[in-house]
Amino acid sequence: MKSILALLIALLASTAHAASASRPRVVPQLTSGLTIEIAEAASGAPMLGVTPQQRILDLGLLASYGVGTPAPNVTITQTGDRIVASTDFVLKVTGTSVSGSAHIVSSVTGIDPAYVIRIDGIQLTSVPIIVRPPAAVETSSIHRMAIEIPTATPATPLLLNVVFQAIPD
Amino acid sequence: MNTRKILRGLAPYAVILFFLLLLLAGTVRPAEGASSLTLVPAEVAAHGSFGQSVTSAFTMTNTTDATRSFELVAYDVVVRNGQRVFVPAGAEPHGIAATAVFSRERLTIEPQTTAAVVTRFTIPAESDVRAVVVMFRATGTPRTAAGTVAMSGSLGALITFSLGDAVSLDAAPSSITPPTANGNLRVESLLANDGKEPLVPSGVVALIDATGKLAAKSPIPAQRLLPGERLPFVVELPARPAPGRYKALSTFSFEGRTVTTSTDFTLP
Repeated sequence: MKSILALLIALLASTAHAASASRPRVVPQLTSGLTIEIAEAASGAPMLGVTPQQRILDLGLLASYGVGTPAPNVTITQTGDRIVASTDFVLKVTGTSVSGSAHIVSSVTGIDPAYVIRIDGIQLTSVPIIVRPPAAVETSSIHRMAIEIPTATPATPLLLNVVFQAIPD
Repeated sequence: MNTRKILRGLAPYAVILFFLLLLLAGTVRPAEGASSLTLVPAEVAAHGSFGQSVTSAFTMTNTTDATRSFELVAYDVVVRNGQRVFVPAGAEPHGIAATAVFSRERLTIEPQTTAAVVTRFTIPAESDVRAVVVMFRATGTPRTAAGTVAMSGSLGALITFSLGDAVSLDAAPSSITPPTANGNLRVESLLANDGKEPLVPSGVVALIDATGKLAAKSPIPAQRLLPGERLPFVVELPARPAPGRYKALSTFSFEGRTVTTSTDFTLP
């Protein structure tokens, strides 16, 4: 009985050793975890909030065939038949990561080809692009969003969703 | 390497992991008060070889008052012109993101609950890609009125793959910024990963005075460098050394190896 048990243990041990040699070693950084918040900037437009991760930035009636009234702290510039509305907002990443820092990428969904959205001058597409380079977590940063729309746009919802994602460096 | 055999070997573990996380998802109630979304782990370091599969589990915790929905999307992370770029799955030759298999591709997380997902990537037989990001992309855009823009915050997890021994770190001599009335002595070292594997170097800087004595010392925080990436490693020394000649010795360790740079300077 003892010899069978010893044989089983030896067999299990050798199987485990063989398996470990052929499997990747995966090290999840269980102490790492991030969260992100979107907040109103003192110099920015009002923000309606469902949660700190789900905001609605109120730019006011922008185009409305060129006669719109922007919200407070929204700068409007007009070039030809297009207007650019820009305002500030705040992003904050909290949590922990191995390097103690994270970057933020952004993309836009549901964009009408007639609109152009830029964050700090970087044009957004449906593919994420870095809008905040590596920065220490627990750091808040002010960013500027600029939306370029045709002046002929009626006062209808823009149906845009600008997505920000925090990723550890 | 027989990928199918490996996958078959991994399957029971992935299933157990998945059910454990599901159990966790049903029982864990995050602390109230903090209204946030948290992804754990946010990063995974995998060490293996070409042809192997890497299985990882992630949990997203929703401590907000709203139900949140996400779709999972994988991107290859590559470095171009010194910048990280996120390449959609299938667009990068021999990319890893294209092999992604998710236990579920969409997640809906009720307030104050946690949901888990298991991901599996199979490393192609040859690939220069060493990192992928699993994006938990927020869906379910809030209803907006005229002149408003919806903004969603979400998270992504970074998975890095170390697949060989081709590790190399190039460290340029440090640049020194003398202390001022408002600022500390600053030592900046530019490090470049000129190998093929991801690295997380960390280091220590020591200031040696003209007599050979240690005048100050400080750790240099770790940062991740993907292949082709170059980043400044900066440390501020709280000590205020006396005027004189010094040598700054910066030593960085990575993957069991070290690289040291030496910079002579004079403090007025």
